[in-house]
Amino acid sequence: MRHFFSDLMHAARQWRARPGLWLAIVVTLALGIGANTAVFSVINGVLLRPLPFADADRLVMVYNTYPKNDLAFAGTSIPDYLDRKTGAPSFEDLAMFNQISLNLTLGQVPEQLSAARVTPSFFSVLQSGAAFGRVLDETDAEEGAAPVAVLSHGLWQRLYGADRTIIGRELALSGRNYQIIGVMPEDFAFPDRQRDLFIPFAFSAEQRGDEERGNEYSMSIGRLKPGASLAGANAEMDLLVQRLGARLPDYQAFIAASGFTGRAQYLQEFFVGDLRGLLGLLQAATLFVLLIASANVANLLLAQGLARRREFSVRAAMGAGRAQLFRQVVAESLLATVAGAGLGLLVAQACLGLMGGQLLQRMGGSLFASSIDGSVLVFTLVVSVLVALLISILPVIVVAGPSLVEGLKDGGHGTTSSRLTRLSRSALVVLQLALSVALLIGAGLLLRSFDRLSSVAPGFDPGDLYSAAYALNGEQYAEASARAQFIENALGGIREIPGVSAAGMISGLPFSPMANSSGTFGIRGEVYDATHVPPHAFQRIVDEGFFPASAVPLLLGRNFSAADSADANRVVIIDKLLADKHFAGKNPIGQQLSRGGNDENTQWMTVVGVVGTVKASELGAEVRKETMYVPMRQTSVPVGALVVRAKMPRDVLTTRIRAVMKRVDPGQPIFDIKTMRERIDASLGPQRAPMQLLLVFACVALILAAIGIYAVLAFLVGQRASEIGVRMAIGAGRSDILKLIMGQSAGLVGLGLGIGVAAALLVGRLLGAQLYGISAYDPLTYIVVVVLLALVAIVASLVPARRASTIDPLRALRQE
Amino acid sequence: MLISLRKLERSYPVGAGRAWVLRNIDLDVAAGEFISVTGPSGSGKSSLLNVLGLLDAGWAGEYFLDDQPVHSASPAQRQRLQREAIGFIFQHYQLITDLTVAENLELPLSYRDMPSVQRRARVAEMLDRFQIVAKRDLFPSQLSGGQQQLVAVARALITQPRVILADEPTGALHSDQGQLVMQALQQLNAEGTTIIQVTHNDEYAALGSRRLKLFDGWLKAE
Repeated sequence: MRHFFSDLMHAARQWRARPGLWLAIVVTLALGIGANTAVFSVINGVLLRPLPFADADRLVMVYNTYPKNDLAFAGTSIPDYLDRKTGAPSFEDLAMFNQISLNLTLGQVPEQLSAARVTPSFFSVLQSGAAFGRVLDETDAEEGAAPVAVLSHGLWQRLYGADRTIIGRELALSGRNYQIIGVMPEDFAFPDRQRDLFIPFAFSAEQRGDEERGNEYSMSIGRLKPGASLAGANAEMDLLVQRLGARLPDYQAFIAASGFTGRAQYLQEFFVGDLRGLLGLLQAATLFVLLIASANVANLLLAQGLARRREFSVRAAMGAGRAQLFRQVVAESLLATVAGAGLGLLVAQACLGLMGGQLLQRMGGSLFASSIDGSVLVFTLVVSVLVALLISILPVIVVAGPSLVEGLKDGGHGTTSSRLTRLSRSALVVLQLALSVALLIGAGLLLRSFDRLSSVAPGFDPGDLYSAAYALNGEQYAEASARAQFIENALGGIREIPGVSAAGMISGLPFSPMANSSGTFGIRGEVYDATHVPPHAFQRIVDEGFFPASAVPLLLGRNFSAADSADANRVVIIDKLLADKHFAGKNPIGQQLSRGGNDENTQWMTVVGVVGTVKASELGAEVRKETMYVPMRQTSVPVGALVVRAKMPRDVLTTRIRAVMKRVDPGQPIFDIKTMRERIDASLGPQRAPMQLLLVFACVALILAAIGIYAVLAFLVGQRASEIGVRMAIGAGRSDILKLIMGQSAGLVGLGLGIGVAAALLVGRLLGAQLYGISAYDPLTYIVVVVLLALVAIVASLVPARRASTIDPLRALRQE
Repeated sequence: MLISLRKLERSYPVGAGRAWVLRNIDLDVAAGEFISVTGPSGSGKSSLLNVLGLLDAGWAGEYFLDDQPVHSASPAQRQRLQREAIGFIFQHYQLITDLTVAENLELPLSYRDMPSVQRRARVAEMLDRFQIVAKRDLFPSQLSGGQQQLVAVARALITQPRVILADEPTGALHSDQGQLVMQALQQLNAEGTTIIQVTHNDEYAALGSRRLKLFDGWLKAE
């Protein structure tokens, strides 16, 4: 250690004498190490760091699943939750929660608060208590109990300026007074940081009954007992479903046909999902960048090595062994790599800003955080040490390798080591090129895939289409007619705004959190049993303005109209997918559908129109679930969205819509105002972020490879100066020399491109799952990348080649 | 004998054949001798020194150093032998340019796991002995050629080697400085250090107790 410290001191002096080289190496390594640190920060935040709950490895999400209906995840109903809470001994505790919106009117503009409605066990499952006050207890969730609320830390600060005396005060939300009983800690963020408050989830007697089964609008989270396994919990839930089937023979057929059961999945896995593969891909890409950067640095060190051969030889003559020489070189490399790592942390911060949010939003919002913490710093340090070792090996082998005695001759230019140096540097350039080709082709494939994906038609025209959400939770909107009146008034006012060409309403707005609202439906004439279960469809409520405003094409029949009122015959519009699936070869107009199953109480709705199929939430996914639309005047839910087609700036439109809403109901907020293009773009975030990052990494790789080619050719030209002088002296023209050097470059570049294309074919296979609409072996991508890299290589080779062609033969020969 | 060579040969591959630089060398060097090796350029003088100094391992034959069979020693054993027994002086001083005089002197000791207190004491002793205390913090480029070679001699001596191998130690010096270095070598020899020098200079060669002549790799004693 004592010697190593002295080596470090000497290394610092070495670098002080060569500040330009040091800076070039530090910047190169900062790019490579920084990219790796950024991706590792995300991996650390998502996969390695435990979730911020006690014994988080025992937390599981519990949900219903219908594999035979192609519905893997379906939330949980209240009776299923109660069955599992009491009948699945693997669970230490189980909780249920959902989200509701509550209106708060304090200032000029009414505000929408997002509340988590939770069973009191929510807090015991997560083992989280209040920062002060208390959390919910069982008496709070009894039917008829006085409304109480636990505030999030954020809401407490925003509404009350962090006043600790608020416990016991009342907060009026959507016409009810909630008594504040506690405030959660600042770091509590479940199910995400968007929840403003937590209110009790009280079950009515009806909700506890079997009729409630299938209403799966809530989520469930559980804590396994110590030593209990997922398999055990799943087996217990299977048994519960078997008992349910035995108790309810009518349900037995449905269970058999749908494959219905309960499943548990570890919380971390539930949220991370298929992002694990994507993160692995990004880490591999950044490793490529680091290898390319290391190859460049090793090349620079090799060039320096020749100049230092004499020094190494003297050190060896003084008694230094290879290990000691290696230690000296490692000490020098370490000073550069650690500085590179320091600068790399800034690069990592920039990369995280580019990708962190977009990647993490897909995984439970703030449950995961990608920050540079202790683990990331240790990772960065370990990487910088490994890189220091990596970039030191070749210079030591080549410079202090075959015969140190050569270094003691005048000038220290031994032929053996020169040959080895030339070979090593050429090999490094080939490696850089090959890695760059693979990386660029990977990035190119993702870019083309993203281009294909973002140009997929969603089934409506998202240009100039604004959307705003509302939640009619107040007592005054308890009746469906009041809700319909509010929407009619709001849309009437909005349609009068100059510049607005159309407006409408929809529940379950596509590309919004509401988009997955779905349920079973029946077709008149069909008989459902164990082998033929009712189909499942997205179920949307719309007014007659929705289809024209969003430009969803009417393919058959008619649109809804004001005549489709609560008193009129029940009607429904279906999408093309539903028509094709269930009425192939028949005229769908006039067919009758029901929401739910077919029994004596069924209210039949007559199909009056067929519209185009609309994507619900994923542009790239094939639409597999059909959609039915029912008119707003015949069915009503309190939560929905307004869609407005208008050509004007968002601020102007927002102000005018808010003015309309103030006239209609000054206490009713609208929120989440976005264009549909923004909603679609947000849904593409998880694809866009890695593609953008890969493109950045690929550009860095391209620049590094170009520098590498230039440096090696410049070195080779320098080495061959006297040979070139001789060639010119015996009659070679400038063009001959130019051809000679460019030919040498072409050999290296050709080899690098060839190996790179072979590597890219392997990379493409790994990328396959991430691509949309193009093959992993897309010839255009391969050709463009190869041509691009060849052009870059030609440009990088031209400077040293031109220099070689202008060598003065007399001077070159004199040097010899 | 301090050094014994038997049928030692050194050659390099050239095309399909080999180029011989040392041929069938038999040599015995007793402790305390001052040997001058002479011969024309390319006769193998420096190659012989490199073999004797264990800088070159690609030779054939037998080599005993202090009765230790170098020819059958492992690389680690050879390095240990080199560290214990051998000091080098080169024609072009070969000081490390970005180390100070004191640091250059300390360098061989740092490869021998000597505690830093002892290292510093040994460096101080050498600086004093060669009267270069005032130069201790100067870099080689701030010294004259003679001063640099004196530092190189001091560096060779600092590990207290049994034998000093000097490859044309005065070759890059003018005559006054050359005299200074040769006096230092004579002094060392008088104190018991074995010295083998390669030189082109007849006057300096004559200062040795024995003279060896190399011609095309063959050793001819005078």
